[in-house]
Amino acid sequence: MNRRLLLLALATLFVANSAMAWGGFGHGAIAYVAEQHLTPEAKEKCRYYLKHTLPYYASWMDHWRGIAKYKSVNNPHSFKVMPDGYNIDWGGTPEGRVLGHYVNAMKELGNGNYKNLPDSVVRQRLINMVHYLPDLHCPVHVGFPKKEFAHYRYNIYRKGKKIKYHGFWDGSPGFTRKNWTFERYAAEVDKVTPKQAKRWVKGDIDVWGRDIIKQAHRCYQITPAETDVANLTEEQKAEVLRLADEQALKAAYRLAHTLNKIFAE
Amino acid sequence: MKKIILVLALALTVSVANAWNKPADEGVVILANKHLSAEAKSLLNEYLGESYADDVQYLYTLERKKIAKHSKEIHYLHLDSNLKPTKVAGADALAGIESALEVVRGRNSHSKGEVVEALRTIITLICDMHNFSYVRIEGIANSQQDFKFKCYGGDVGKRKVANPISWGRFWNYYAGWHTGFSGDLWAEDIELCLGARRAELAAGGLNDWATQIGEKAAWLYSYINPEYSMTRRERNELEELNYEMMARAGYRLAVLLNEVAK
Repeated sequence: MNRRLLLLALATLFVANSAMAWGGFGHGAIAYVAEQHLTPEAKEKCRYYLKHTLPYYASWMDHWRGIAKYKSVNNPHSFKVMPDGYNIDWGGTPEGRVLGHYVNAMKELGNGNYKNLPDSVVRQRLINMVHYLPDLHCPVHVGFPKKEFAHYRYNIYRKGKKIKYHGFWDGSPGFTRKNWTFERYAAEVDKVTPKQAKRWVKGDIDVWGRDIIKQAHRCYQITPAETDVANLTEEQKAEVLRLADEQALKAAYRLAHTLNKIFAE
Repeated sequence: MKKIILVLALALTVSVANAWNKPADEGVVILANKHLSAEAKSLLNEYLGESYADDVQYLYTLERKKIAKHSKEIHYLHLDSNLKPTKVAGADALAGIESALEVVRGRNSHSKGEVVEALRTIITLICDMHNFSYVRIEGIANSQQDFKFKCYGGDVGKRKVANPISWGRFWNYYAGWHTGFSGDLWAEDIELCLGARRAELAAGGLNDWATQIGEKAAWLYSYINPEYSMTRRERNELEELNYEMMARAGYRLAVLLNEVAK
């Protein structure tokens, strides 16, 4: 085997490992934190329908993506923003977007409606919720209009090699946190006070959506065009984690709040 | 050049270490611990302590440090063409478990180190034999060495591309879906999902388990081969089988430890 082939094999091996390692961590950590904040009733109901913990299903929607039969899973896991850059674009078919899924799931499950549905339907709606609500909070899942926000479309790099901006921020809760468990994430990152949590869950999906849009602008300031993420200063790394964690924790608390509301007796 | 080969060799060793991965294997032991008798719990606590992170790596660590006295075949479950275990001493998982069980049974005439080594061997090998990449069946050529087959990323749009994956890597793949799971979380999740089926999953003895694993492996080998292209849906559906094998490993480990602790 020549030197080039060996290097290629080595590179493939590491790429495969890293892609797998970061993909699900953020989702799982959010679901884990959310589970810690469920009421006993909500936790019992979730476990009854899912027969698994919340983190188990955190990335289910991504694993089942790309299979034609599962149409709803293949819809974009993102939402659109109005040209003003601050309001949600509810136009088009809301069912096709992550916010629409939330609204529909609440209609179907809320106010005790879940009791009238087959267990399998409730289960699937919960699996969707565990993934979609966190997806909504990811800064790069906020779709700014191409025309007005053309300056948000640029390249970033790792060690001089072009990487996907989306992929970097998708994996941001696990950034610099190799081999962390969800328990460690919850213990070291979830320092949210009850007052702060109350403020985060206040309002409806429209209020949450506008808050998410506002935060999403920050990621373009933290990692502007031409950033090489391998050369970030300690302060810049902390900035990445600050935004990632704030959004992840908001997602976790809002997910717990939503499930608690659905299953409130 | 030598350096590159060394790094590549190390990377490959790391990627094949453990039946599933470290936290998942640890989860199997923690799951077993939930169903141990008081005697078995105290036995495990006395010899291994409360964390199993190093124990699930034991045989692999010896191999990495090049101080292993065993053949690598010790990780594999060897079955004849009738799916009966062949138990080649020193080169078979089942034979390894049986001799380690003997040491634990006669622990009063062995040093503490020997008993620790035996318990660690049982833990590592019970995980290995429940992973389909560690099953060799006489007459099934593809079970004698690792092979690659194709796996589709999906059946729509850009995902409709089939990439090669090795049989060995495929059965590690699902544990990687759950990056961030600790051993405790694995055990909690498996118990929640399959706890009600524990008696059924743990029924029988070592030889029955070997044949049962062989039956499932033979079925998989009957259609997954180097010419096979697996759909994403099939890949996802097989996760359930892999998950059940982890549960079987945990519940069966509890049966073995309860028996030797008596």
